[in-house]
Amino acid sequence: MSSSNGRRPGTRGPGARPQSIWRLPSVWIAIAVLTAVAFLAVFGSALAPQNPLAINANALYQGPSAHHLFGTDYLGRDVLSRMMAGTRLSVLTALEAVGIGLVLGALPGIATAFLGRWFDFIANRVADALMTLPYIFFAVAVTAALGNTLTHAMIPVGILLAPLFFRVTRAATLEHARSQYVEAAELLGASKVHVIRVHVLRKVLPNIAVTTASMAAAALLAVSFLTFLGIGVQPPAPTWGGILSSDLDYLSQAPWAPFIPGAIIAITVGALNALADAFRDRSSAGALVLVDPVTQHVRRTDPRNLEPVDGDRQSQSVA
Amino acid sequence: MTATAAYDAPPLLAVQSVDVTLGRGWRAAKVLSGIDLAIWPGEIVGLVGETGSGKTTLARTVVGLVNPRRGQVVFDGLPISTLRGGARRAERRRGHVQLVFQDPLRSLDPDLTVTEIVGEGLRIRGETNRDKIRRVVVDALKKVGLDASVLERTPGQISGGQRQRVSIARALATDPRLLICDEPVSALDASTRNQVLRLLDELRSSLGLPIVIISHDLSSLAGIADRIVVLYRGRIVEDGPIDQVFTAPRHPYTALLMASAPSVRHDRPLSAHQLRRTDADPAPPAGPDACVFAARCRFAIDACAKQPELVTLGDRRTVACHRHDEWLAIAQDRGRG
Amino acid sequence: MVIDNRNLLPDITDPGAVAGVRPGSRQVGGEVLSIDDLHVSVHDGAAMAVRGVSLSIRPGEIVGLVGESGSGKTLTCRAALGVLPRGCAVERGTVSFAGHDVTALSRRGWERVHGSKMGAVFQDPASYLTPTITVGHQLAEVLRVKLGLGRRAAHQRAIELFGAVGLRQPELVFHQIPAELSGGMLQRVMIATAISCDPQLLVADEPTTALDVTIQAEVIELLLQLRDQRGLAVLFVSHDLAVITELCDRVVVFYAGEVVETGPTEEIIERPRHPYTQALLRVASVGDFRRRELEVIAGQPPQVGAAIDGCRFAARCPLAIPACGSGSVTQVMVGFHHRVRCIRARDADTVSALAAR
Repeated sequence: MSSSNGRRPGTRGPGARPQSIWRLPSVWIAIAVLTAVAFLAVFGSALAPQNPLAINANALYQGPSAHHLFGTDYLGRDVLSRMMAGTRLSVLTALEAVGIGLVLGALPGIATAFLGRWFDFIANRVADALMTLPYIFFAVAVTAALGNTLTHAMIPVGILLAPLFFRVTRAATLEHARSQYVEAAELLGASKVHVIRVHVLRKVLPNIAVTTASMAAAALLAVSFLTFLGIGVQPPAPTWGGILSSDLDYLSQAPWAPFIPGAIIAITVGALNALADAFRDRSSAGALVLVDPVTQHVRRTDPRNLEPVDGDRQSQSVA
Repeated sequence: MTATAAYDAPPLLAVQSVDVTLGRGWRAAKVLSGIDLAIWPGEIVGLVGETGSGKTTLARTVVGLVNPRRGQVVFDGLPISTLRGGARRAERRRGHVQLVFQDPLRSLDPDLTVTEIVGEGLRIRGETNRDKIRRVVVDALKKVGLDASVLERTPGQISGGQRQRVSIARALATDPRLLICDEPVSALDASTRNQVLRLLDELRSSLGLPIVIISHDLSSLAGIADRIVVLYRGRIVEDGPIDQVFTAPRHPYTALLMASAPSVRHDRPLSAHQLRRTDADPAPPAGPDACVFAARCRFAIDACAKQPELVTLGDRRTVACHRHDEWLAIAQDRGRG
Repeated sequence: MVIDNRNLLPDITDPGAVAGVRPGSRQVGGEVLSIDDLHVSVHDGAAMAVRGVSLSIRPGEIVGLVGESGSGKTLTCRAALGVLPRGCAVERGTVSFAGHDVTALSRRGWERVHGSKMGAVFQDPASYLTPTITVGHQLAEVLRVKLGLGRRAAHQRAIELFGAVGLRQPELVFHQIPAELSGGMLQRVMIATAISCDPQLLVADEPTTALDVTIQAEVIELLLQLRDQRGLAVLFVSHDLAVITELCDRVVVFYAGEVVETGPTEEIIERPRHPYTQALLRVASVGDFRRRELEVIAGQPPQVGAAIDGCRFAARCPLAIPACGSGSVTQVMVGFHHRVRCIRARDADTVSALAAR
């Protein structure tokens, strides 16, 4: 008893199938931006038109020109080259922080649904405590103790991102851990590892992806801010935040200058957030409840399926 | 085709004096009280109860998703309700007792294919040979009347009736010795319902598999149950062979269930009118120890302030009612008046 | 079966004084609802889900629409209420209510009809009630809006209505929110709301399907009581022929978008003339739960709106002959108010073959 030839039910009106994220222009723009950033992170230093460290006393604070597309800074160094070279340090360390946060946060987040109430209680309190700490001071303390490199500075950022990963993965995992298909697997004698591996993991990954994108944006902002303050910066190595900081010092001589690093940071962060939003919208629509207007069946249709077919009366029809 | 159950042998499953409480602290509620139930090999038992009767909780207790506060569940001589952890998982992997959940939409993982779902029990047991798994899966599907075309589909891509069958096939793939089906037909129209019930009857005949069918009404058992157990507010009120219970119910609630069941034939021995309490009837005894049905019972007397025990009336027939031999005459009198 | 409303005992919930409707003013003999050759398309005209359905309901009559999912009975019921879902439209035919054509009625027009002349109950009562407001206040608000009653009068009237639908201690029920009431009680609240303005017709779409069987029996008795006391006509939709038998005076059997048989309930049950009705009877609940052979209806109904030459049941029909495969099949009278859509309905062979089953 399928609904009709041709058009899928529920394609108009309430409960219509969501658009694929690949149709949104914002997603394509975000991917383009991030691909460029990633490319620069790898090849930026090699591709820079000029030596990012080369000081030229004759060409201080120059505006954009054919020779220096983004102008020069207070030491006559080519800004464009410095931005390209600085991409690696900024991006990679941001990723490092995200990686730490992911491992420290998402793994316990998944495990907590299966390890009992005590573990959950303690993990939640630890997460609460970590969320109250400001990362700046933490970063200062760690770099003071271990040495002023960006890598050291990102460890506290990573640790402080962990609670967010924890919260999100815990919520997502709990929802699935209590489902009937998990109960059915338990009745077959499945171990917790089996349940996580077969049933839970692939359903939680979209949430993790969304969180990762958002946290990457936050981490990048954190890197920029820390380097802006001079933490983790080893001059003359270029970093986006460091460039922004020195630009502000010489604002009167080169008022246009801060826009460049500022815009690059904003665009990259924006791209990450746009991607995160798109993932979030898609994954939250995963368990659609469609009401077929013809047969009044309530169907929980996975939009990934091509042919939702329902042959029988459900006891919950919605008028 | 009726297969006779082996009633001389000891029961395969014995639920012994089970109490179940759900919820914590002030929210705790006693859902099952003093449940004594035995299932023999080869029989089809209909467990009937309305909303709030505890029938699903009883099913979940038998399979261990819920632990009894008192009493125990014994399967083939082994107390399974006291197993925990690894021992419980090991017992479950043997696959002796299987539960078919009420809603296949929720109990089948929407991301897995039918092959993965039906074969999951084998994988959990450690079977890695893909061909063997596939053979067992195809065999189980065949038993429920599905062919290989559904193997690579996900639950969202097959019809509701097919999902129900896949759910049953998953239970069959582990060669169970007892099958519990929670409301297998309540969301189906009459013809599909009969198809599924016929399937269950055939499974019992061909495999000798005892089946417990949980349902909220008698029509859902429509003609395949050998024996009926009636549950009301957490207690068993009547239990006996279907022929005897149908022709001569001993508990007023059983009679009310039968009288309320809609039918295309108008030949009811008793009408619901004769059984329902009216405001004219004297107030029934209340209180935590009173019979669970007293508040709705037309025939309640002072003695019903105490919950009646399950008494055995003869050949595998039990009932929990102080007036089990009197109320029928009173009801028939009312009908004449 | 026509109820002469003028002789009804005065009803304490008589809204006559306020709404200006006197029971005797209803037409005796005039139809409450009349559907004529209704065609409804779905999916924005892609398929015709209801094909040439005609039926009528007289005052005080309870008519049951029975059929499988996708048979068109729910869409017909929706069309009668003027609440077709998006993408569905009436392509042909008319719906008349109390003599007025409502097929193309505007939203404004329907606002005047809904509640006051036509009430409705559906399957899941909880989804039609605000979860945070007491049921009494929700009903009282309807009374204030539709009947213009004052606050106190509406409160009083709501309690009376709750009592009229069989709720025990209605003054206490008034102050409860939906979550505190059982499914059966909620359905009674919905029925109370539906009849609160004394409508002529109550439309009920599977109202008892999700209820326990004992409560279902009580609700069926309630509907019969309301018909007897108020002359309420009822359009009752269900997939369960047994429920229809318990309640309805007349039955309309739907298959694949068409009416295949219609007639008085007794007739349909005793002498069904369409093979599909026969099949439905064979699988229906009979109130006997002892072990027996279970029947099924082989095959599947056609896709909604499928274009089929000839009889739409022929593919599953045990009595089909080659002539069934082409040409449209019209309804024929086979008894008093008993119509069948089958070219073999009058065959002597068919009649005896069906009788033998």
